[in-house]
Amino acid sequence: MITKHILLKRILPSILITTVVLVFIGYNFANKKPNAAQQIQVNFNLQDMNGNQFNQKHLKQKPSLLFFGFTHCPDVCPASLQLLTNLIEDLGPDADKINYYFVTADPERDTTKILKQYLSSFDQRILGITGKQDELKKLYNALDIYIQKVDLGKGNYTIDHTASFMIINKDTEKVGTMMHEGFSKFIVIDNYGKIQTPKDDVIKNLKKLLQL
Amino acid sequence: MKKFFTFIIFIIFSTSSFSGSHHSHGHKKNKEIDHDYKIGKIKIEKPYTFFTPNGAKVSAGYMKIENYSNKQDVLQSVSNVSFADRVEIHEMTMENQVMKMRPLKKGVVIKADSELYLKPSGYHIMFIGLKEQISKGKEYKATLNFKNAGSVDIFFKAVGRNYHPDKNHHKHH
Ligand SMILES: [Cu+2]
Repeated sequence: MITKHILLKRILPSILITTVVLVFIGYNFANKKPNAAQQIQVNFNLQDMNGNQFNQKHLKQKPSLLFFGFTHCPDVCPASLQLLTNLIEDLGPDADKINYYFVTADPERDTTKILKQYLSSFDQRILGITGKQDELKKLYNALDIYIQKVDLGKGNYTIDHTASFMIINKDTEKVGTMMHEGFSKFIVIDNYGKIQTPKDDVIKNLKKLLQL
Repeated sequence: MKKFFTFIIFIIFSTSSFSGSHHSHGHKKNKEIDHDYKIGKIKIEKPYTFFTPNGAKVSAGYMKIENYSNKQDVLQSVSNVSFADRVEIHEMTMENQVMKMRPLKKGVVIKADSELYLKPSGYHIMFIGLKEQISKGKEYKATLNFKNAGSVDIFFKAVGRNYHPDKNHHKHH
């Protein structure tokens, strides 16, 4: 009787605490789906390189691939645009089921005119987007794009930026990212950070994520 | 078959002694070998730069640098570039899918008896304020300034984005 009492007194609190902790963890797991597809809820007002308005409504027309970069970028941006050009070609007739955007990370230097000239070297379906800093920020934030201007002195600067493509489905949900591997090909990564297999079949993975 | 192997061994020996002669004695003159360059105990292999998209204001140059010395050397600066306003030595890094690029003000070290690749997504020579477009078939001159080996004039060959130096050339390795 005495031993039973001590046992209860000692073990019961720890059992209670453990239960509370487990319930708490379980509750969080059930309610937060940290990596699941989330609809992009944002209103923004930007311009495309042809001088037309570009806003959230345009993302609802078709699935989209968005890349954020700048024309003063020496390797990752032109390399990504070249790989995208190759990918659009490989997609064949399916290519027209997707919209392709190059959104500037550097609105100070990348005007509509400069974007149009720069992008004329790549597939004509890639649309350049620029606009006011504040409006661009809304789009960066909505898609978790990291953009940071870095002063290099003597009036020079560079921009640290997310260098992967955002894959958005027709319901404007971010369903994954596309990353180049060694500057030679893309790999598709889902929202759980998992590289889609087969790794070298980007087109198949892209179509699966976008339900094309 | 035996003859074939003897032939292969002969080739290996002759080419290795040939390349050995390049770095056994420091040549006084900068000698261009194919698209390679030598200064002291430093060898530069196949400098290249990509064609630029229309209106591009920047570009990057790449190469392989071999240091045959038992002392480290430093590529301190690049000068004598007529096609750009400024030229810097940069390092690019990728972390959590974020690209960062920084100038290396003290240059880049090439360790003793080692090789260093300047290549996309790593170290590069950054050309800022291009005065002309980098275009097909052209070569772009620059002077590389090493701390120990001294200065050497090189030419960057303009290539397309699908160019990979290791895949396209097997001559030296
Ligand atoms: Cu750079």
